[in-house]
Amino acid sequence: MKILIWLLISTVILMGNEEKILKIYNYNDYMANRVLIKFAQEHKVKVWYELYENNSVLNEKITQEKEGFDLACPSANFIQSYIQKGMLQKIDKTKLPHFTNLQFSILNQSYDPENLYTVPYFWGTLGIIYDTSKTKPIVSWHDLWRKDLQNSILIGSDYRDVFGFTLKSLGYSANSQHPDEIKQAYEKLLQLIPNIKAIGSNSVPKYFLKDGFSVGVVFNGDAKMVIEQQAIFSYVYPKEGALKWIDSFVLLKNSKEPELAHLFLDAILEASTSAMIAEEVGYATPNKEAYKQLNEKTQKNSIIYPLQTILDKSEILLGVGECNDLYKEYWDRFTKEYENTKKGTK
Amino acid sequence: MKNKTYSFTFSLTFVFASLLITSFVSIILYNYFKTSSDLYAISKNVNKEIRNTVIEKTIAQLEKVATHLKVLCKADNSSDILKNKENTLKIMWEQLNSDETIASIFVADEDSNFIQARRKPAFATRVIETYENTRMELFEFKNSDYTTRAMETYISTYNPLTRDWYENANQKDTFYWSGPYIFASTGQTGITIAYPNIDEYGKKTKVAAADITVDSISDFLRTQTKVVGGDLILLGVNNEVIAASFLDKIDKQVNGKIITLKELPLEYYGGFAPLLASSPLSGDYVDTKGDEYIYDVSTFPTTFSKRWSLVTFVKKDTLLASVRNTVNEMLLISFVITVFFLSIIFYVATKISSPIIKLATAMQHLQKMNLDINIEDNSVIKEIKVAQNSLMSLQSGLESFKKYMPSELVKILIQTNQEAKIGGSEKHLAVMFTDIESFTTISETMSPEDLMIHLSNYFEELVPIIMSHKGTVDKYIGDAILAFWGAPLEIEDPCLVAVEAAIAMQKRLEIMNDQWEREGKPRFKTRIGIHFGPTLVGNVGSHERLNYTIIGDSVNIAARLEGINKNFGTKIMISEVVNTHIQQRIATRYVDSILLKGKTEETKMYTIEGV
Repeated sequence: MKILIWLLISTVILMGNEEKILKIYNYNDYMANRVLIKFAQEHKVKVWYELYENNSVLNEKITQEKEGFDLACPSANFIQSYIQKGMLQKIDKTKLPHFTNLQFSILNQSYDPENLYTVPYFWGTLGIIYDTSKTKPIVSWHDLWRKDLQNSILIGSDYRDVFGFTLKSLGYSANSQHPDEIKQAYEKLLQLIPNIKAIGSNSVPKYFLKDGFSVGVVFNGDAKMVIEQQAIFSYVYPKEGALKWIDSFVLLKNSKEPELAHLFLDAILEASTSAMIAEEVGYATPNKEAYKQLNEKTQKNSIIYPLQTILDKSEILLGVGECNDLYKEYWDRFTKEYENTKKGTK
Repeated sequence: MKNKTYSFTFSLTFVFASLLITSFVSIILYNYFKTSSDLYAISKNVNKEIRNTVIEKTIAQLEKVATHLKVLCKADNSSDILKNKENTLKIMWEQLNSDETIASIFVADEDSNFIQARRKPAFATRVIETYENTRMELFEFKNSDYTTRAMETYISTYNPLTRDWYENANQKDTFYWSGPYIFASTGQTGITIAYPNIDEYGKKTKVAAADITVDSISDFLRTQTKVVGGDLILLGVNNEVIAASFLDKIDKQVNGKIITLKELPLEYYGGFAPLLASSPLSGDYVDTKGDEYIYDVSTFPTTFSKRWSLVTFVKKDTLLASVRNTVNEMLLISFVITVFFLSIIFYVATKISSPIIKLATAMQHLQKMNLDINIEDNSVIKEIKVAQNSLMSLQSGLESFKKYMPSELVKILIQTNQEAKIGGSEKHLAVMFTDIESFTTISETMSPEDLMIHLSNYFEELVPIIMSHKGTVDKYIGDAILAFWGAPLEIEDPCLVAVEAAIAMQKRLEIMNDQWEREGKPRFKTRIGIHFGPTLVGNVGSHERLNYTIIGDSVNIAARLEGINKNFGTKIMISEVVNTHIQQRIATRYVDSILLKGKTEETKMYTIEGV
């Protein structure tokens, strides 16, 4: 009995002393560690920061509702359905004095017209990187199907990205909700298999810098990292139009520390912090005050901040409603086919 | 003192059985002890090699890690470890992956900055640095390809400068090896090796260290139990159980501390500690259950910084199991062979002894003058056959001898184990004298040969009657027979028996005479005289040839009485003294009185009524 009382007392004491933990779920290579350390130090809390490879993994994990993350950073195409499913909490902007640092053009997108739920984090493009010394010039998505690119392409593991550029190559919208078009895209994707050397979204630069890949469908941030070290690579915006994406932080419904989450959101909106992250991550910041603090070289990097004409031609990946399942189904069939083919050739 | 005697079969079987069993037991015992000592020796050698291998492997393992630490320090010549932390972490990561025994590898500098790569509870890197005057800790949990899976950051409470490994290494110029202990983070057993980096000015700038698990040594020891034939224990300087082949079966820690030899359960050598403290490096150990072990201790070489030791325990039973099996098999085989041989020996012994036993029985019969026995001569063994034949000769010899000598006399001689000697004694005997009437006349009518046969037939009929009446035939005198009663066998009422014999003889003769007459042979009319009186009886003659005979007046009186029959036409004439002895039983008739030669008074003579 005494032992039980002691246990109870010590548990209470421990609980009282338990430090607060802020749990963040984010893409890999998408944060400056110093920002986390600084936040933990300033607020005397523990920060748990877990990484995922693509939106699908994120989607799976947070819809299971078990993990108890406070913040996550999904892409635009997921947000609408999260809002609809009630998975998000509204963000109290009175607690985000630095929210005004965000540039107006990035706000009030169709999926969250009043930015009640989202705090834009980064935006960027999906284009093609290739080794100009090994590969004939690539100018379009359609070029990826060229015979001379056999077994040389890296594509990402996010199905919306992959279907997005395939639909584009067919002249359709990357957000197509026409089953027929999606089916056509699936069939075209099957024809790409001989050219695909790997599917992966983790440590993307490594594929080109270490593993000798010569072509890839990559985010501009990764492309920048590769080209900074190997100038022989080139990043192109395909003529059908690049894919544009916007990632935003959301406050999850199961958050145990919404106060802390707001503090964190405001911290990363603060201009110098935001700039530091932008420099490290290599993507385009929607934070206009932070942009001003970037070094000139970054500001003028056309890979990160492309010309407006290119942006005008590109398309933002958005939610596709009920068609999402169709995409997923085709994606599963495609990856199965891909794996079988790879096994066969081995 | 009486000699104990045993039957032939028993003796033979016993001797052979003893020989067989003795030789089998000797061979088995020799084999057992020889093989056992050989096995001990082999096991000792094998185990010594295994212990050395284990020791070498352990040292190599630990020293490899020590080299890692040197490499780690030399790879970054800056005194601020944070400057090249990414590079340092990569090297640590490589080292961690190259060697499974490294649980953790880490480095700290004088500013208490700290970099670590660790294996458990999950692959992670850890950096502790000062940020805005606060020591902040950053864990990066890694996938196997070094990509980050998650991060964790918080205010650190860990100060490497106060840690044993840092303090100890910093005081030394070379490696510091901790004693074995239980890693709090993983529960594994291990040691920490720390290496102080000294820069070109001789200043200690940082300390690199590694936690090395020794659990894999237990795994390795376990693989050696079959070869050793028992358990192995690796002991620290203070007899901590660093590793043991059975460590997976017991609790390896006591109150968070590594278990020591004396804290081991009794069934796992818990009672060995006092023995190790006081005894030589090898010997016998008996545990509480009474199981016997041979133990051997090898100490780590002095070149290694810790005087650890490795002990092997081999259960004697296990070691000798195969020998014991062989002994059991040999015992079984020996038993079968012995039984098989014994039955053969028994059969042979019986086969040999049966004629010998029969011989012995026959000899006993002969000794009693029972000559009417059948002696076999069927033995296949030469010597026995000779004995059988000799005995048969003896039998027939005695048979003949009996005819010359009173068989009772011979029997007495044999039974009393005496030789016949000259000399005699006076005894009261009934003396019978017979004679055939007109034998001379009859003899003239027959051929000598026919006469001899006829006479022989006559004796053949009468002598057995005398003998069956316990009489002794002294001699034949022509057609006369001299016989007496009372010697050598003392008999009751010799006169009566003698007279009864005489009556029987006359009756028999009546029958025989009728038969002879029918055959055309002459009748024999026999007259018998019987007297009773003191008579000298004994062996008379020379040493070469003796006669057992009677001498004296009685013989003459008997002869006289026989002759007097002629005058009265009687067939049996007895003296007065005989009559006195028998008249109550046999009817007699007074005939006459005569004055016998040398007597002053007349003696009355009687004949038997009805003869």
